[in-house]
This record gives sequence, structure tokens and C-alpha cells, in this order.
Amino acid sequence: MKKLAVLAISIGLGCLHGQVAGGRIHGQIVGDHGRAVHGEVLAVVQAGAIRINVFPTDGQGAFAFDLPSGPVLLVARADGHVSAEKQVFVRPGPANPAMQFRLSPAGAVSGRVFDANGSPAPYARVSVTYPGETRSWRFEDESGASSADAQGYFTLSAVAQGRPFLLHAEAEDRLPSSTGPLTLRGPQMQGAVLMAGRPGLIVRGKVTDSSGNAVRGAIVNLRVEPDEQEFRREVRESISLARLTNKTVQSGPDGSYTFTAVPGGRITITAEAAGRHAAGEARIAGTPAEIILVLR
Amino acid sequence: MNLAVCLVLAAAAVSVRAQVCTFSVGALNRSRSVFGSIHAECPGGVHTAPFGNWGASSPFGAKRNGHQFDGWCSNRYVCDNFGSCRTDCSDGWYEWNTCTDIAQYRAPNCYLYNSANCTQQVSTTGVNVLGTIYGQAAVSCPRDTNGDGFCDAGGCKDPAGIYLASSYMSLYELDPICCDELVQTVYFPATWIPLNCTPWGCSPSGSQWVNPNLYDSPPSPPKVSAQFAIVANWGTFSDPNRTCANYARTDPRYNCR
Repeated sequence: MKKLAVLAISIGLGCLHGQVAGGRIHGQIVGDHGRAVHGEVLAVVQAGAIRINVFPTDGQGAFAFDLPSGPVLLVARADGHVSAEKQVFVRPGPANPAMQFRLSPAGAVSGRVFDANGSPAPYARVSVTYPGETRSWRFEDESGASSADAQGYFTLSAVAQGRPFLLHAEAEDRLPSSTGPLTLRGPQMQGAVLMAGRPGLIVRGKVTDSSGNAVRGAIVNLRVEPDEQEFRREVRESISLARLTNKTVQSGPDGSYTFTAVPGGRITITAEAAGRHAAGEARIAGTPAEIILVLR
Repeated sequence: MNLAVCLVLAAAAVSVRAQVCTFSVGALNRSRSVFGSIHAECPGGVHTAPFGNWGASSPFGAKRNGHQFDGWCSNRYVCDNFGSCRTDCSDGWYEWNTCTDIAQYRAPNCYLYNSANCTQQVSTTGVNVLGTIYGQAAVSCPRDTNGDGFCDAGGCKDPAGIYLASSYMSLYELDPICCDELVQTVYFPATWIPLNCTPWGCSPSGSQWVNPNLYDSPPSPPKVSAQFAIVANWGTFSDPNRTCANYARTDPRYNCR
């Protein structure tokens, strides 16, 4: 929070001074044992739009480029390594401190996902996170998001070596589950076992107009505030939970809609069609919920 | 910049880890073609000349043995210029003739080339995905600006779009045993995705397709062509620390659905 406060003050100071000038960013990407790594730096700036610039390093991993002064997210990546990011504030001129990105070498982790009965969980999505690491920008090939096959076997191709990590599984109609901390000590780990999570809840219902006629094709959005005890912090901040707790479907020909794999908690559900809206709220725990949405 | 805007920006920075809109942004290519002299993993080693699967390293991720830059040869009966025939490209990929400067595999040969009177190669598949990034943008809390009780501003509606100043793909002939071989790096100009979002999420939207504007390794002649685009597959708002939910308890503008 201290860093955030500094960032906020910096923005304020920048505003007060009418900052427009650019600043020079320079540094190096290194890998294991400080070896230079050829790669690139993505600079992500949020200014009305999300603006992404790509700056390649030279053969020694060195980079130097100019950016408008202000906050920027820098993401360093290189094939064969797991990326890293830093949020910085670019100051006008050449005096920004040199930056170093140290990338972990990537290795492969393979294993299998089972359900509670010991049967393979087919096509579960498996992903990886690192305890204590908060990332704003991640590459699919290193965050996992890999699907297991029909027998539940999976391989993640870019897991950081030498850093504790967690594996997460999302099986159909089930809530996310996670392993305890694991560490990849070399280029490969085989035999990781994940248990799929418990079944999620079902929320279903119907969208009608004020006369009770079914409305087909309405956009139905479900948002969930999961109960505090439902998920660990790593899961709460994960992309998979963000998607699980904010879903959109269209109502069917009979106006019906269904959401599966819903965690327990407070739900808000809205429907919209042709400029008319409807909304409902409920607290769900343990049993399916049925909500009729009447457009007005 | 006026003071009000500055204060809003400062407040947004304070809550940078609070509420976010997460985007899935993919890089795509299509209309792939290969021409001129290509020489990668050709006879003389353990390679299975002349066909091979290609991978692409890009700002969207590493090269991999997949469908990043599909060619055209898939489970085909082929004959080289010396009359040696066999069924090739049988490992499930769409492969390219990557030894076009070797007499045995040189054009014209309608088994080894599929375009321009059997002198060039064009992909027979559609759009390929180079890689995907998940990016989080700090956003303001969803709010109701017209008093109807439904959120119509903030959240995923904050970013107007996604602008990629330039991009590239480095194309490699992949070798399962050792040492992928670089064919060429192809650069592309700027692309822009206008986002189509509500405060709670975004529906898919894409940039226009662009053609290459530069080559490297080697810088000339061009050996490869393809079109490039980026697509926002989805966007979703999240408030893991319930910052917006807390605002909603005290400020009616944020108490919207």
C-alpha cells in the first residue's frame, strides 16, 4: 500500500507540474546465475486506452527506450523462461534508474486430474500461480490454462524452476481446487496429482416480459460475491475465479437460462433485452437457486 | 490536465490492486504463404527433410509445437525431384517444405509446392493463434449515471480499446531433438481493438488485419507472408477485495446492478 500511495502522490505531482515529457528506461534481462538473456520488454500504459509497446533487447539482454512520463507496467519475457513484471513510474529525462529483470528458467510439469471417486477428470483446465506473486499481465503458455485430455492427463510447458508454485484445476461443473506448494527442481516434473473441486451450485430461471411471455436471446449476467471462507486468497485473486464469478449467457427459446459451477455466496443476476432490464439478488448455499427475471 | 482529473487518476492508482478488468488478448495470423529460398533442418543431419512444422515466437508467447503457423502438407503422398516417393507429413501437423534451395526439393514440383504453378506454398488452414495474454487493467468501480439502478459506466467500460504499437513473429522450423532453426522474423504495424464492453465484461472484438511491414534475420528478401490481427476474446470485471461493494454501501451511485 505504501508503494501505491507513492504512485498516487507521483501522479498528483505529475499532474500539478503538467508533465508531458518522456523519460528513458534502460536495463537488462538476465536469467539463471545472472546470464544475459535475449528477449523483449512489453510496456503497458493505461491512458484512456490500453497501449502496448514491444521493445526487443540486444544480444546481451540490454534494453533502452523512451516512454511518456507516468505509470507504466513493464513485462519482460524470453523464450525458455518465465516472464516477470514491474510497475514503475517513468520520470522525465534520462535519470530513471537502471532496471534488471531476473527470469526463472521454465520447465515442464505433467500429471493427472482425478475426481473425488478416483476417476479421471476429463478436460479439466489446469493452471499455475506462485504464492505471494501478484501479476497484472500473464502469458497463457506460462500461466497454464492448459486443458487436460480425456483421461485427465495434462502438461504445463512453462513453469518456473526453483520457485514454489500452486496448481489449480477447474473441472466441468465443479469449483476450482488447488494443490499445496510444489517446487520444480529441474527441467521436468512428472506425476503431479490434482483432485477436482467439489460440485458448484446451479442457478437457473427464466426471462419474461411484464406479461409473462418468455424472452429469447436476453443477455443474462450472473455475478457472485463468494463467501469469505469459500476460497484461499490465491484463488480469490485468480483469473479463473474472476471468470467463475462473473458469467454471461443468453436466454434460450423458452426464456430459460442456467449457470453451473456457482460458488456459494451473494449473487446478483441481471437480464437485458432491447433496452429493457431486470435484476434479482439472492444468497445461495447448498441448494440450486431459481430466479425469474421480468424485463421492464 | 485539470485538478479533478488528476485526483481521479490518483484515486485510481491507490486502488490499483482493488478492482480490475481482466482481458484475454490473442494474436492471430492468416493467409500464410512461403516463397523463395528456405533452408532449415535439411539433409545432412537427423532431420526429416524437406517438410516440418513451424513455430512462432512473438510478444504473445513462446514458439511451440502446435498450430501457430500452419502450412499445407498433411498426411500426403509426395515425390521429390529424384523420384523418391512416400507418404509424408503424417504427425498431425500442417507442414512446410523448408528445404527449397536443395535440388532434390526445388520448385517446380507439384508434390512439394501447392501454389503459383507449383513454385510457392500457401497454407490450407484458416486462422492460427500465435499466443494469448491475460492482462489486468485497473478500472473505476461500476456506477449508475442515469439513476435507473443499473450500472452504465466504470468497470470494463473504462478502457476505450487496446492499442498494440507493433508486433512481430519469429518463425522457426521445429526440431523435436535439437535446436529449432530460425527461418525469418516478420514485423507488423500497429493494430487497434475498439472494445465492446459493459461495466461487467466485454464481448469479443478484434482489430483489422495488417500485412507485414518489415523483415529481419534476414532483412531481405522476404520469405514469408501472412496477415496479423489481435483479438480481445473476453473481458471480465472483478473486485476480489470488495472495494466496490464497500463503496456501494455508502454511495448510491455505486449501488447499482
